[in-house]
Amino acid sequence: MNNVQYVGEHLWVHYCGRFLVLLAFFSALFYLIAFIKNYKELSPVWSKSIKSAFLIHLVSVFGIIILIFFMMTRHYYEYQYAWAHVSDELPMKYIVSAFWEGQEGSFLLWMFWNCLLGSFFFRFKSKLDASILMVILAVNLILTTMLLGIYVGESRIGSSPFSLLRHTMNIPLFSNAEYTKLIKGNGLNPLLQNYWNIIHPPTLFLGFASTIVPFAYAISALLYKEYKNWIRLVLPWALFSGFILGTGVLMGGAWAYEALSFGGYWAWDPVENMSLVPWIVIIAGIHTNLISKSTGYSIRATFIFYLLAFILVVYSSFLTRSGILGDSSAHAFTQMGLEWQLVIFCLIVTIASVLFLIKRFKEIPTKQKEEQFISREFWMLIGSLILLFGALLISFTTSIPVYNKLLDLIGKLLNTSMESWHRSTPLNPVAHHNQYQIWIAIFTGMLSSFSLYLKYLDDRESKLGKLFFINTGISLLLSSIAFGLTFNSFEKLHWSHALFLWTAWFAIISSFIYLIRVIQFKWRLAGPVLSHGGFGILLLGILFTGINKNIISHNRFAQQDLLPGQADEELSKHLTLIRGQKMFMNGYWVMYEKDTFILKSRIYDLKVWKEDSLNHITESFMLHPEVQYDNKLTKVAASNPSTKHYINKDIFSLIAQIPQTQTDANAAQKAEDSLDYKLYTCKLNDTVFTKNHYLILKEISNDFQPQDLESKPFDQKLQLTFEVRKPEDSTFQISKPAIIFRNNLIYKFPSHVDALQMRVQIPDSAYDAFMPSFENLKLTQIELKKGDSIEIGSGKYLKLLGFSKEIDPDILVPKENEIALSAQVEFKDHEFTAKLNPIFMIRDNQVISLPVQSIIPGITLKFSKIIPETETMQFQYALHPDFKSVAIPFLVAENAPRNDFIVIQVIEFPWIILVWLGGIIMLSGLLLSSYLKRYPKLHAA
Amino acid sequence: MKKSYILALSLIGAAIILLISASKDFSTYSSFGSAAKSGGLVKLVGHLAKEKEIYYQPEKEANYFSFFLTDKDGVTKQVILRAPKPQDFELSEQVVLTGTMKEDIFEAKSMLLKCPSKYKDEEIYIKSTTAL
Repeated sequence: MNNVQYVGEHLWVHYCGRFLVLLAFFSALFYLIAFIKNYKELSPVWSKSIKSAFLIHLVSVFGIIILIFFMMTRHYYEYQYAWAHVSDELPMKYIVSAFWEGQEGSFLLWMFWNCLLGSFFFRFKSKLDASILMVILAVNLILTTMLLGIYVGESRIGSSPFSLLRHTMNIPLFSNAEYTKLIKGNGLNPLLQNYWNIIHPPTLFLGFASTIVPFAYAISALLYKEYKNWIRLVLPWALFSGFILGTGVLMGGAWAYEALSFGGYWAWDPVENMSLVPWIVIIAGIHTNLISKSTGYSIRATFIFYLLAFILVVYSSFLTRSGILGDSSAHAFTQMGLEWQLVIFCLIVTIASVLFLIKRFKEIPTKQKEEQFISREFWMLIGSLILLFGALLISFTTSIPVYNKLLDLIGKLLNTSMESWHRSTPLNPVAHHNQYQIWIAIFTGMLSSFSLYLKYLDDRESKLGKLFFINTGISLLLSSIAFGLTFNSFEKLHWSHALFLWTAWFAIISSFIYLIRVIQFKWRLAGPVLSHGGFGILLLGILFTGINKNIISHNRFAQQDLLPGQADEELSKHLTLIRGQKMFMNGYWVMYEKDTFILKSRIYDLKVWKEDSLNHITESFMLHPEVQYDNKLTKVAASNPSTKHYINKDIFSLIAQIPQTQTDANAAQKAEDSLDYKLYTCKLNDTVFTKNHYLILKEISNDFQPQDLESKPFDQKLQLTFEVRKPEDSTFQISKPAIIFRNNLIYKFPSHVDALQMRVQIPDSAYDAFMPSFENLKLTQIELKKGDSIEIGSGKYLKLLGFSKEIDPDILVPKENEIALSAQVEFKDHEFTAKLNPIFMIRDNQVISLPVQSIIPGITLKFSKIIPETETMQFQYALHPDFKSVAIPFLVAENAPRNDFIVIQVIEFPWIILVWLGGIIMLSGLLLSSYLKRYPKLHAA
Repeated sequence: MKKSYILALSLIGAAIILLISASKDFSTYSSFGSAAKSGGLVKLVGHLAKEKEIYYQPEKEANYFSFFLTDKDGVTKQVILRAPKPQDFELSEQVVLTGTMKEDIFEAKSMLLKCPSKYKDEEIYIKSTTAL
């Protein structure tokens, strides 16, 4: 295949891209080496040259990103990355989502943020800046290796976003020199075609990336033995990191809740856990940072937390990108061959941190005197350690797949199988994590409340003030009242949950009292109020939503006794709805009214309402959940929930299942093929008995208007109307199968009688049943002028309306020197009106007459001659035998699967708004503090 | 002894106790045989027995789904899940179940499917030509 000269490829993108990746790599490498050689005394010359190295790196990274966007928007499918992630149909706004769908793109997104964060340190204002840039570039250097896509011996390093499709696959298509014209892109996974996927990944990645700044500060401070200044400098960055990473995590929860089929905002999935853990550690670090800034205590702890937060970010990217979570997570990346590079990344970051810390640990200043028991610094440290416990416990369980891999490695060394030692994630991960994190939340909630009233104590002071007791007293009292008032909202509350409820109130009220009595509405000091108060509101929301979550899609009566042993309410969370039938579910009425197909989605209209004892509707709303089909429209790819929001609750709905005929085109065909159609014939008003039903043919008509097919004037339409019933039933269903004959094409419109699980359709042979053969017809000749009408039988008239030279191209396309004319004749009797368009044509001096044969009302009409002198037209017609006496064939299948149902899940989430509100308030506190503490004054060391 | 040492030691102690207690929740992959023996909630991994009946009739009962699974020992048993049948179930390479063995039937509480990556090994789509 190497000999093929390919046409239509845009190879310059490939060469530019590969070049820029190498440039990014070597510029970062140059910075690193130059810095290490000269870090003790950075001369202006070196300073200048490493600055340019950073600039070159930044430009290369931006260039790579622009090139990838370019090839994606231009649909250069010869590139594997473009082919895999975009398609012609993909809307432009999702090109960004497609960019970070793949691992390469998400690495680039990370590098992009690193470059932007790095540019804040570009001016080398403090001694630390050059070193901070060095750390950022070292990380980018490692990330660039993920994009190299070069082979060293047998092993590949990185995966290039610029690799050509024909290099990644070996199929006969690539022996075609013009293959680029033949391929089209895969497109973005429909699950990800969602506006959340435009805003969530960049936010989360900025969050992950931003943890590098505290990390880089810590490393640089250790390098230059700058133990004091960095404490002030790093704080706004850490606060920003806490804000943006927290926003990313919260958005992830909102995405899962609003747009995915989880049925909740948090599921303790490993991927979620590993985004939460670094955030918790950053928050712990912020608190020790505040202690060190005010008192000089906890500097070592601050170092450890900031180093750890970034190590955890790298570890988290290892877990989610290496494919190791495949068994335990619903949404990790798949394996890509970068596992070892990711392991090395983790090791480098961890080992570097540990080495730096050990080397300098003794030098890091500490205070001789210990923290006082009643001081703010003591309890803040305890709080930070509790947060660390929380993070530790989450990571411990999430890392189970890693322990298994490590055991396998040991097993390899010892030459034994360690399979029997393997462990898997807890049977009920939600209960497992909750049982520990409830206590973490209670302790942090309590500490975050009353420690607001404590003071940083220096040596002179060592007593709690009077104000502390008054404020704490008021808070205790008010929160106990609030607790008492809300306690009854819960049916039964475990004592730990009761404590949780009280803690949430205590956190909210203490922050509020602090705002009023201590800082007296000074907004410059309001950061902690917002964060701690918001945290309390978040806890309150978590409790209300978590404990009082109510599965509505549950009908004890409808489902009773259907299955042996189905007593467990937990197990029946789904309800089947039949279109047009109302159904009672746990307090609500619901009706599946209809569904509409728009673009790639089938959107359902569900009406939900509540009735009081007098059958008055007290509450009523619509829900519109939808299912989304894949890019080829052959399969359901995603189910998108629909939620009705109230202040005090959300009603969440999700389609869990739709009929198979609508789920999957192949399955639908299979299902249709497996139906046992039986052939019957009948005349008008006849009754036909099938196996389980009987049908009466009530009407035969040609007046049928299909929804999704445009009618043509010469269409021959046939629709039958049956009354269908079971022998024992007095009520009947209507079935109206139809068929359209168009030249050589046949369109069938089978009728689904879902209530009786029956399908009825008209076979092709119906045409022959109606149509006598042309030879057997006795033609009668008539002459008509325009406007003339003639009676051709009792009450049957033919009228010549006019002529047209426009012939439908589907019937006939006259050649240049040919003349074709179609007559417009109207047939009318007491039942029917039909337009008949016979065609008269002269071809090679011969008259060709194309007759019309109409099955209903049953007439053949031929346009046989034009008499120019008198402007009369000669026609020949024949009336068919009365169609009412024709034995019409039709097919009936019984026991067919229903097509008019959906399976839904409906959940009520009380007060979920508090989760979002609390989260947003908490994070805005971090943002406010970060903003207020920017540009800290440098204290003389 | 200094307060901070006491604090540090008690924290480490607490951490060890917590981690040991957390590790008690770790589960192992069971087989039908051992699940029947234990009688309790277990985690089980296996693959779908494709030749046996896969039953799901939502129009009758939305929360009843039954299929046959072959576990790692090669034993095939019926599994009942009280939930709708997931998408692409037939394509699954591996099925991870949590549940209990009741007589000869495994009653699953939850299920995780491992499916072949949708967008990885997919065939190249050839543009359909309209020339006739």
